[in-house]
Parts: sequence; C-alpha cells; structure tokens
Amino acid sequence: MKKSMLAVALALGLGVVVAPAAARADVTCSIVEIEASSGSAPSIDPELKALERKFKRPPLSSWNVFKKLGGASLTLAPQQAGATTLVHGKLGLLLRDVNERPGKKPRLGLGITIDDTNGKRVVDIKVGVDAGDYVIPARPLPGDKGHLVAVTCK
Amino acid sequence: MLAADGEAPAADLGPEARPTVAAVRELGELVRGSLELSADDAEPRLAGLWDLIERRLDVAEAPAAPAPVVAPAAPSLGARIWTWLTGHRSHIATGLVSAGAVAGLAMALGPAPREKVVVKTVQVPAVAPAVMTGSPPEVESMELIGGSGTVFTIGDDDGDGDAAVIWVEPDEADPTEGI
Repeated sequence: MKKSMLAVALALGLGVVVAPAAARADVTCSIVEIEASSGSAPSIDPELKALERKFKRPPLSSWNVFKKLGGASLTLAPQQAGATTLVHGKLGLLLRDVNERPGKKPRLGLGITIDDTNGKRVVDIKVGVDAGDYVIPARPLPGDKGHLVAVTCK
Repeated sequence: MLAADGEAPAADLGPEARPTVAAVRELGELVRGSLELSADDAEPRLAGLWDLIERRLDVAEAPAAPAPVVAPAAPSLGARIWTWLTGHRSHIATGLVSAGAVAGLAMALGPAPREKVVVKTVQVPAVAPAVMTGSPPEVESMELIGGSGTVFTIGDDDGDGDAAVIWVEPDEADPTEGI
C-alpha cells in the first residue's frame, strides 16, 4: 500500500517537473512572400522593415526593390504540418521537432516545400534553425525578378 | 557499724567486735576533728562570700536608674520611600495588574499597525542582459527540382536573427537537347 502511494506521489512529482518542458507545444510561424526586382529607385516595402538589413546583404542585395506580396501565419505543434497559398504557388511547412536548450534559443526542425503556380514542387528542404531565425528560399521569376519566401518561427 | 554509730546496744557485741568498734569510733573522731579544722580555716572566706551575696541581693532589690532618653534618628529618604511602598504594596500591585490588562485589551482590539513604506533610490550597477546564444541555420537536406541551390547564411546584425537564404538556380536548358 505504501509502495503504491509512493509511486503515485513520485509520478505526480515527475509530472510537475516534466510538465513545463512539455508545455512548449505550439510554435507560431510567420510566412512572408516577397517579390524582388531591380529598379532605378531602391524601395523596400514598409511592412518588410524587419528584413531590411537582410536585403542589403548578398545575395539579396542583387535586387533593390522588395515588395510584399502576401503573408500568413501558421501555428504548429511538433510533427504537425501546415500549408498556405502564395501568389506564386504554395508553401508547405512541417514542424518536425522543437529542441529546448538551456541558455540557448530553442532549436526548431522545419521542413519547407514550395510548389510553383503549376503545382510543381520546386523546393523541398529540411533545416534546423533557432527560434526567430529566417529561412528564405529564393528563386528567379521571369522578368529578372526574384521570388522570396521568408519563414520564421518562434 | 550500727554499734559504732550508737544505733545498736554495745552489750550485743561480741568480745571480738569491741576493738573494731572502738577503732571505728576513734577514726570518726579524727575525721570530725579534721573537718572542723578545715571549717575553721574557711570561715573568713565564707564570711566574705556571704557579704558579697548580701550586697548583690541589695543591688537587685534597689530600683534601676532610668536609661537616658535618646531621640530616634530621622529616617533617610530611601527608607521613607521604601516604607511608603511597603505600606501601599497592595495598591501598587492592583494598579500594575489593571494597567497590564488594559494594555493587553488595547493590543488585542486595537487597529493593526500600518505598514511603513519607505521608498529608497538605490543605484543598481548596470548588468548586461542575459543573451541567449544561438546557432546558425543548418540545412539538413535540400531537394531542388529542375535547378541547383546554394545556401547563404546572413548573420545576425542587431538581434534580428540569422537568415539562411536558399538560392535556387534553375537548370539551363541543354543546348544539345533535341538534337
């Protein structure tokens, strides 16, 4: 009887200890679709202020006009996939895992797929990024333009 | 012995006891004579003793001279206070008990003491905020259909996070295709 009570108390204690670590289930990912081009007058969409510094670094600095085409937000649990429609295709996002590290940013395992407007898969990548970091697949579009999709998860 | 003391008639004595009785009587005469001589010698001293006893008896019978009257010393201030305190100790004890009871009631029924808030300005040394370190993005696998890719990592400029740019280059059309 005493052993069973002790086991229950131990299980409850472990549950209390483990619960905070397991509490981080959902991750919110922000997806921003950007059209990049080169123009005589540099221009950056005010809604892309957070990425302004990135646009001035190679290889993105090969363009000087950045226009936001759209955006979406997906809230995912580990091993959960989501998708959003883009102006130039479709994006699929899979949150593979979340690795909490003491003293460091959580490490996120992401799977990103991009299909073009014809439904043809053009990008299929698996990356590991810190929470708050960006993953930006960039591919050319006709007319010497670029199609960027900035994905960041927290 | 009874015959020597004269308590028994001498006629009852046997011839052998007569010398013994005579000797006892002679010895008695000698002892008495010696004692009388000693009494005579001690008479002057006994007479002086009697005079002494008589004088003492006379002194005892005479009335004693009255003792000189001495005025009592005035008690000191401390002694007077102590005397007053000891004389009123019941009143003092009653007062102390009553004061204690009133104080206890006041503490039990009175309002709770108000918290005193003291605002102090303290110079706190500047402490650098804890910065969570991170790792750059890492591409684990990349599959680009109809093209090739290059991964560029743009570092964290001012806390806006790292960025991994996957630069996709479409494959050029094979000039020999269709030949």
